Amino acid sequence: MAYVGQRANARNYRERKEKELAKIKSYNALSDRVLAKKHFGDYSIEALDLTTDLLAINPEFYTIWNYRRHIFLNGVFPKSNPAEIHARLKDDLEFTLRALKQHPKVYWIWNHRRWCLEHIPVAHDARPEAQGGAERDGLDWQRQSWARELFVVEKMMDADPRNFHAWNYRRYVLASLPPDPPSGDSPSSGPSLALHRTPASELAFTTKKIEANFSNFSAWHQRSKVYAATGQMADASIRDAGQLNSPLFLDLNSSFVNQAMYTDPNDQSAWIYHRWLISQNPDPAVIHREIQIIQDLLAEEPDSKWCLESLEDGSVKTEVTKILQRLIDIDPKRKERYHDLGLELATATTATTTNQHLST
Amino acid sequence: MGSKELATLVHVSYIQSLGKATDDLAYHLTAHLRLNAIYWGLMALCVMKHKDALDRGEMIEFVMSCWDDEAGGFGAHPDHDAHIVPTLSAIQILHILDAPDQVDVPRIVSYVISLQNSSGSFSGDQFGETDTRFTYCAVSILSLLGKLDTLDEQKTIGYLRKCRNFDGGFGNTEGAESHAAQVFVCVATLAILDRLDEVDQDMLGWWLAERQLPNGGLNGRPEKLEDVCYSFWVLSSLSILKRVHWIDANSLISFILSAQESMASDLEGGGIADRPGDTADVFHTVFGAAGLSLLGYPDLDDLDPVYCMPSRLIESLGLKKDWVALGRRTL
Ligand SMILES: [Zn+2]
Repeated sequence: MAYVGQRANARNYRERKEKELAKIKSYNALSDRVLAKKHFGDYSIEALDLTTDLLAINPEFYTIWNYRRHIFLNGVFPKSNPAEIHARLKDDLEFTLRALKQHPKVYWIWNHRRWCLEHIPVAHDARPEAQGGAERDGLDWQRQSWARELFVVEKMMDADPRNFHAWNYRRYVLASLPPDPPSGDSPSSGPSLALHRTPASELAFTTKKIEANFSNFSAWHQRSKVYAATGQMADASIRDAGQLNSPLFLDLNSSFVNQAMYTDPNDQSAWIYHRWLISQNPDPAVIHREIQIIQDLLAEEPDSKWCLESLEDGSVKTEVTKILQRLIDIDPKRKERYHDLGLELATATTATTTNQHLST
Repeated sequence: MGSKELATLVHVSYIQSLGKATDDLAYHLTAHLRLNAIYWGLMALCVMKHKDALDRGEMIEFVMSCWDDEAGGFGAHPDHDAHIVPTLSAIQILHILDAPDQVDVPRIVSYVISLQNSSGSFSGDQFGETDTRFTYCAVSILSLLGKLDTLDEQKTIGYLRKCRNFDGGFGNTEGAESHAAQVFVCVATLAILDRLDEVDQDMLGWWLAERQLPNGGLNGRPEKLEDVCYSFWVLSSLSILKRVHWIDANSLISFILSAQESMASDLEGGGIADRPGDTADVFHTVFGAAGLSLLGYPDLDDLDPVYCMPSRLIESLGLKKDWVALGRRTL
């Protein structure tokens, strides 16, 4: 029986290998053909179609993406009117979308989409029927494309909320949006093309992501970026208007972060964010309240490493030594770090004492 | 295979076999990474003290066949476009093989400099994708070629500062989430430029130490899976920050060793995978071996965590920075 099994395996292996060799042969033939055309500066539609075939098999072949863009720039676009260029680029956005669904982490695909978006032409033909609506400023093709892009990337993030390519790309899209249409000038049909997000809506976006999964550190990160941006705004306008001290108080004064800490005390995402938030708000009353909240949680979860870690960061010195010893016991993988923190503390204490002695 | 020891000889023959795998489709589909892969294989051999297991002449010849004369840089394969990543691989390989004089230094320098954008970021190639990985490639290339004086350091550092996040880490562009591999490229770049004062070392050291999971392996971001390659990205960063002892070495060594490819079939075998049970590849083989070297695993050669090159070579070039790895253990 074993002997028969081995023979069957060997036959399977040979058959698989033969199929693979056939694939290799056709792939290499295609690749050689495209590279030869590239070498001779062939910018024809035929060459373009061959790059489509090759990239559909291997979307990581960066040289071929480059060649494809050169074909557009040197061969296709010079012979096309804006509507034709627009149609070509829309096709490429569809083509790369199919590729992205299979390969959501390939840099080159995301990169090619950027290039497409950045080359969507201004519509010179401003007739209403040419733009599907009222007479406009010529930017609607761009608005429609970027609006769709925002939709696409947010769909990709639904599929994988931690895909950093998608998060980066979304930040890029939001930063690159064409100007909103002039006010009162809205298209007769279709969705609104006012695409720009306010800090409040962006904050709500991260809230939604975090509430779906408190472990989504990518969303916590984005939240820190929203605050950094509104912080700058606060300096310029909001604070001058005397409305708010700092938007950072919003998170501290809501129970949002605390709720995340309580939901899963072992999940480091909220704790890292919390430490940063506290460091931005050195208000003693706030710190006191937060320590109380963490101590209450620690009473429920006496082995919570993150409770102890946070208290270590914010506590009075006499407590810290005890906390560090406890951390060494419950989190031995990082015992050397706790040991170093203890040494640092001892040195700092000695230095303070010495200084006190010297000054008396 | 027992997972208690590094199966050095098996890995050496695995790396030797990679260049001969021409009847695997994957070999052809990864031509765009060929030069990078040769660097990974060669570097893994260096760490395992078997540098001569690949033919020196063949490697040099292949590297030179990847030169893109139009751009003035190296592609990953003959007839592929120049890109800054394979350009660094080419220079690393030639240095390791003691043949650095093969390259056209002035042309490479102007290629690299031409890729810097007004924001201070670097693009990877003519079409302008930016990433802090490319900043590292640029700075490492210029440093290895002894041409750092051609770099606008102010602008370069200014951009890295913008990529620093609330958790002390760095992302691949301004605004991007911290990621251990991006932390490595940014910290190593700052180390080369003697500007580690730009790093919140305690905060970042803490974030890096928290990458270790209960099974000993390291992840690249909070609440993600462990992966062998982070052994290098995290440990190199910690070595540069002189805090590599903040990781539990024994459990990480066991994790890396357990990701060695088992030799269930005599058709395959050797190499290290991203995690136990997966298929080995040369990328995880080099970064697994590099991690073991930084952890002081016995009978390996010292690796420079800033350049990811043999430590002695970097020292002989006068480029060694002030990093600390764990002491070499004896068997
Ligand atoms: Zn990996």
